[in-house]
Amino acid sequence: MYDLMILFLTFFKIGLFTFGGGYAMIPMIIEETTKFEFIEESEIINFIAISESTPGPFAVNIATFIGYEQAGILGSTFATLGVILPSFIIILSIVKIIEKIKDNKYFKSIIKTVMPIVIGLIIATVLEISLSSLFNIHTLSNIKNEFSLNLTSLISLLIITSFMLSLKFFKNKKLAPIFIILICASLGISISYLLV
Amino acid sequence: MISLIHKESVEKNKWISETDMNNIIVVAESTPGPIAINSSAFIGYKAGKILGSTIATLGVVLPSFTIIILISIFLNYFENAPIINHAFQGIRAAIIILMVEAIFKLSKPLKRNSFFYSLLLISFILSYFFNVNAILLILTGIILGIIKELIKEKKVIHNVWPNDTFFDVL
Repeated sequence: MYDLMILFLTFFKIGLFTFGGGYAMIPMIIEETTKFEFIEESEIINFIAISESTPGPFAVNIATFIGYEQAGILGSTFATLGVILPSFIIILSIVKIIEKIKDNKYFKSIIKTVMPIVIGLIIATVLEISLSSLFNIHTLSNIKNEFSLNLTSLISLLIITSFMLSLKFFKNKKLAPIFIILICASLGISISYLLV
Repeated sequence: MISLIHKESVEKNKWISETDMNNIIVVAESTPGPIAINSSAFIGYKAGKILGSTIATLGVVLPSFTIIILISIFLNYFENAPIINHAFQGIRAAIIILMVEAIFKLSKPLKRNSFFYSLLLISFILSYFFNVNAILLILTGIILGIIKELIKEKKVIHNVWPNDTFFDVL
């Protein structure tokens, strides 16, 4: 029962402070879940990847995933309830004044201040994930000892980046997240076998 | 997703007006929580008050919930298969790309002035080098946003500070 309450509260907290949609949640999710030490960062990253590729709101996907890993279907229910409740409550409270809220000066000021902070957080998270996934660097102080190349991930990154950049510059097209993930998954499999 | 919402809510079922749609787009992206939940709660309310809100939200949640649980079960069977590990190594690259895309997407509608970049830099440094808690930083941002507006309204510093341009930047 204790587990369920922790799941609910953790995701309630996350849902409450997510400004800017799904991806803005990622720094908080990594922080809050690795705190408990029952999920490793590499596992979380896999969950994040799957949650980004399946249909539906990222927040719901990731909450369901982590909740299920911790405590089965009950866990996913509590986690999902937690992540959607702040939204639900806030929207219901402001639904009658939504027209005025969007022009409210305090609302606008808060958005102008919070968004750069969120973006800074995401940049920090990307840097951290890149260093640990590509170069196995987990702590800044120990770089020399930890450094090793993860060739599969590195090469996949190079290939998918060049592919997407060419698509953008030559055909002005963007790739949908699900395709990016599928292509990278195939790249991961093929490159791993090629490298062996 | 927004175009789907528009098609179903404004055109097909006429649950909300065009104005409502524009309002909810702005608000749903800025208020806490997933955009999908914010939108469904709002449109559900317009269509059927609190019950409508609940049903709409449940509607948007249930497919994801089911699919993810199925995938979870599947993964639990196959999690040690090397092919899964290899796939995830490639997927690391995808995550990096998607997050970089998110950085640009979130920055686009904002005014990229010195205020923006200083907050961004401070937030990055505090989080990356000093491991300051993300929620704490966001909470500080909310408070700062409120204080900033209070200062602007009271114009206290305006009288004392000879140079206007600092607050023009804000």
